[in-house]
Amino acid sequence: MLVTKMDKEKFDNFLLLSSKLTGFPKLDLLGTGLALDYYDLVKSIIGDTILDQLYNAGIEIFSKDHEVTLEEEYIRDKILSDSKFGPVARSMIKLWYLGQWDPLPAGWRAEFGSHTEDTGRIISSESYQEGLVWVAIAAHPMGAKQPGFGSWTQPPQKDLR
Amino acid sequence: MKKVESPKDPQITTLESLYKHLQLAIEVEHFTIPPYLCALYSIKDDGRNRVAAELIQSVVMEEMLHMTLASNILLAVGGRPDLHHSNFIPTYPEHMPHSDKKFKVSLEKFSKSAIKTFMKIEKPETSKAKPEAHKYHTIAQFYDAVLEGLEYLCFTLGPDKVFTGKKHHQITNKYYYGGGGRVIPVIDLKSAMHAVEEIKEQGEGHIAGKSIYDGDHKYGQPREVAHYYRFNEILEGQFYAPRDKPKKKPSGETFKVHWNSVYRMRKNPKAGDYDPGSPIREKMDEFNRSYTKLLALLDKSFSGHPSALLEAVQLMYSLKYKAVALMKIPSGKGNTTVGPSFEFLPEST
Repeated sequence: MLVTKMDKEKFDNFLLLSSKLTGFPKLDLLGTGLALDYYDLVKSIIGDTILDQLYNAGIEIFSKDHEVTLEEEYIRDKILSDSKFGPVARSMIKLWYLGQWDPLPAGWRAEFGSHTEDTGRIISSESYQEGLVWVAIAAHPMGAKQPGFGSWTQPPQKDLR
Repeated sequence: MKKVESPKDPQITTLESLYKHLQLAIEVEHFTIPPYLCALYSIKDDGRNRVAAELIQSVVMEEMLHMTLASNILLAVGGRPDLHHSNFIPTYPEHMPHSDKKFKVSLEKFSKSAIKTFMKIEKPETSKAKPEAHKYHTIAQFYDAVLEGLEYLCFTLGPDKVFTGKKHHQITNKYYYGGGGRVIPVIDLKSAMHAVEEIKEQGEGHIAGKSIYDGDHKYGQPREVAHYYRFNEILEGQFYAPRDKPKKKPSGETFKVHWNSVYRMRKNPKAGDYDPGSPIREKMDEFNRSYTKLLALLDKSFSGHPSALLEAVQLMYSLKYKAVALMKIPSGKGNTTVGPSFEFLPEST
């Protein structure tokens, strides 16, 4: 639950960060119904401080409208190539796309601390179904969100949501 | 074959009036679908309301079947269903089309009051109720009037002048699957009566007000209680037992209903509540464009291209996922979420 104004602000920062890392609009992330769960999960694994630092590393480019290529370059340079933020950002991207948490590398844990939640797993059946990967490849999660009989005769729909 | 007798004092006496009323029947059936879907899709997929969700889903599927059956009758008598126009979708909250306007129906989340409204929609006719083509009190009265009109026209014009539709335009089980029962192709008065009976019985019971059961065992479906009673089961958290009477509470197995395990969809949302170009507006428009496209595909399926129904069904699935996503997105108004608004929005807009 997001009680205080600060909670809400931090959650919103997490959403914006997630949106920039995944390339999906914030509303699509909210539409999965998992944003709050993921926020709590990431926060519990890496802690408030590192999550704030990660957001702040990108804030310069997040807060203004920039060209996508410029943004991507910046994210690659300031976040993905950073030894502290890179592994976290990669795990976050996998979390949103695959609905699973990929544990942080041993080196990262040795340097920045480890948490019992930091284990590899599918978060929930919902997180599997809501993985962004299915939207990105215009397919449906196997065993869920069935597209209907004969759908294979149609070209993939750009947007499955 | 039973000799056709002319009903006394029918309210529908011309083919034009019959077309109008069958078109209205399609609209009445469709009217129930968005509200039922809102209740269904607002239920969280956490398994806690599985029974309630399955009950609502079974009703919605049968409403879709009824729409199809009403279309089949209209096609059989040489009419053309019209589903793709702005007035086809009601602006909720709204009265049932052509009804006695006793209550309005809203697009809202699963709640006790929503289920009570649904029970008003599906209320069984009393045995004394007369057929009513206008200002009907129950849906069955309306269908009785349609049936009388059909009988009257067959008697006065002769069946050959009434059932002039092309057989291959009928929706059959070849195109219709997984939804609420068997589709009855309508080719004559007997099959038309059959189709009307199925619609009436699924909604209100095999013998309205006298039995809780629908007549589904006759249509290749397991024995089920009629819609009105299915909704009451949700309200009471208890199934009917085989010998339960319509006026008594259900006495069968109990189940839990978690009225709070629900997305808090804002009541009767409208895309116009949000500025054009804003992210929520875009999401709502996207849903409405898909919904309108679905109506266009149904319109095509019901007017001589039954195979278009297969594509329509695929769109129904993707529409569901869009609606569920909207159920989860905060509306920015209180602690509610956006929800689907079911508005007419053709592709080019």
